[in-house]
Amino acid sequence: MPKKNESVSKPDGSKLHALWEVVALDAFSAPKSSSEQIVRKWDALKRLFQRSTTVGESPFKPESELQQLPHEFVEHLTGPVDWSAPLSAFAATINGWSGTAGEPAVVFMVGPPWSGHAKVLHAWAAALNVPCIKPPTTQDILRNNLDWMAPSPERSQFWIMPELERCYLRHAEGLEMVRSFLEQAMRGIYGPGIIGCDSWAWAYLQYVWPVPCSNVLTLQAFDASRLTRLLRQLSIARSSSRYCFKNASNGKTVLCSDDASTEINATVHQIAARCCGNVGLALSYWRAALRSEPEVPDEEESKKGADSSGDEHIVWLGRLPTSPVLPDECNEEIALLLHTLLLHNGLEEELLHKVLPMPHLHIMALLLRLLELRIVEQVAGRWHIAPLAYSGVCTYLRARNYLLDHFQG
Amino acid sequence: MEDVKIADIFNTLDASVLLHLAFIVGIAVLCIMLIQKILPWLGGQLHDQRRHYVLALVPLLRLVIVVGAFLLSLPLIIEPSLQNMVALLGTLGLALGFALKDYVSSLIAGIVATAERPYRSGDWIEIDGVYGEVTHVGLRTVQIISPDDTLYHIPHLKIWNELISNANNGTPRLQTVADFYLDSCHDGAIARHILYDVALSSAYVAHREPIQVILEEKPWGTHYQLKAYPVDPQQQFRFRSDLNIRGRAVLVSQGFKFASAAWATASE
Repeated sequence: MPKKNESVSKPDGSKLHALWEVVALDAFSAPKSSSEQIVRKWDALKRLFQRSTTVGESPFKPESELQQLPHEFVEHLTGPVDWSAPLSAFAATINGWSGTAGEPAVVFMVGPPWSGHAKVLHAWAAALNVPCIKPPTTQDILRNNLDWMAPSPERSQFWIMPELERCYLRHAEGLEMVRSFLEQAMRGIYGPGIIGCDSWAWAYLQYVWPVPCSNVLTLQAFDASRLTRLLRQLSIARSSSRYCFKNASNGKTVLCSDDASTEINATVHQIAARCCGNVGLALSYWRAALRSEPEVPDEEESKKGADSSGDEHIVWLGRLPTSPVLPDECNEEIALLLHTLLLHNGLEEELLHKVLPMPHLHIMALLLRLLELRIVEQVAGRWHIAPLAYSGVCTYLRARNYLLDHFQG
Repeated sequence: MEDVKIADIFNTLDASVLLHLAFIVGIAVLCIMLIQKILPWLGGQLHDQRRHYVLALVPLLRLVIVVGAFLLSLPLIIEPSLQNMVALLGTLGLALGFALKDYVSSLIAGIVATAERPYRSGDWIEIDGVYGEVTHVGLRTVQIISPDDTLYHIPHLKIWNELISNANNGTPRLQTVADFYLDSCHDGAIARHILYDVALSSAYVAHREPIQVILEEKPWGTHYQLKAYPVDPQQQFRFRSDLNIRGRAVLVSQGFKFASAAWATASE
């Protein structure tokens, strides 16, 4: 069913892939960088020996001479991604699918945390004005109550459920409802629909109720080329000023907002490879690395400066943040907690003790400690893995043989 | 006459030879100590299959060092001709055969254990009724730490005639079994399905390994065995406890009754 998205020709005649591309899950191809792999292995070795090392090379702009940009200014420079942009790619991929006449009744859209697949589906539901199914309550899940998902009066009505991961709880009584839901959805009881699912939950659900993999889509990885274009788009979207992002370690220009060149800077390659093509993660790394010189105006002035047209602003890119070091002692409990958070794409604290073999207060003690280490964060009442800790957590869990998602290779 | 012949095969052990010997022995001992410190530490930092590989290297490398040191020392002590070797080994064999039979048997069994690998560091084994994790495979003994934190030193010669069971055999796959005893009057299919989900929803379960629920009818009720694999063999007891706690809670909430102990005792 998935169809290849069209490519655009570069000025030099070579093909330039579309910014947003929707592909079959097996066609996902994460960007790789040999230097990034070496850096990762070196970091792993350093952690093994628990020794801190200092970088001998003297940077072009020492980090101590730069300051973190104000949050508002960072938002201004890398302002929100337009999640309706991938809709045309998605529509092109499933073009011709109606969910009837022997076709699969549902299409799955799977993506790793922060990759934006759920936001794309929300945007699509809003654009098409189709029902966007809200997840069931915990009580519905534990009581295997499917009333929250009433069959559509017209079975041809299209529906979208962006967050399948909210439809189960890794609990002995928390799996039956998602099985029933998937069975009925795939039989077409609810009519044709699109179901979004976080990749970690998807990996787990393969053991709960194996889903056929022929109709599973994902957003193609953001390689360095796509990431460069997206960063340019974001930096010019909200300002007419020209921004030049320069690497603080060597002074070289990483990208400029109005630059049309197709040259890719090594730093962008590094970010794309470190984030395995995950666009949300890449933006988090990018935002965390942005720096300015102290004489650059404060919050108010910077906003003013950013709005003034015709100006050129230099924004420095400091060293990419490294993943926080996970505490080694009591590692089993920490691994269980982190893995649980990933499998549910975040959980409320009152549910954590239902799915973990630890008392509530002990879980809270671990969470608060991990919060201090910036490994987890609490967003809208749910505990999540912090974006900048994600790659470190994945490495940590991989080394301990835990179930990983499809995107961890 | 025989004594004179045996004495004749030895070289003169002057100061330089003794120094040379001491040097070889010293280096060998140092290397073995380093290996026995570094590799177990490194193994402790690793997980999964790599941990087993690293820990299994300890006895192998130690054997290589001992054999190497022996081969380097031998020409310093005797003239290594066939005749001399036969005479020396024959005499040594006779002496050791009477005096240190079990000790030497354990040493030889240690070499065999290194080659055949009935157990490696990190394995969970049972010898002579002692179950525990192999923490060290020495030249003469294997050290096992039991779940109640008792360290056992078991001579390798047990491999000649004792039954040795190895639960994970050099891999991280170790099956854990949780037992449930239910009253006969229930729907077995539902109970089996519930227990399957108990294992599938455990935080400890290794998802890539199979989960099985086996049941057996007894005069007093039905015996269920929930078989699954933890992510790490060291989690087996916590995993079993987790299965029992959550399994019992769900079965009770679903109205299942457990078999009466009085019934079971009477029937046995």
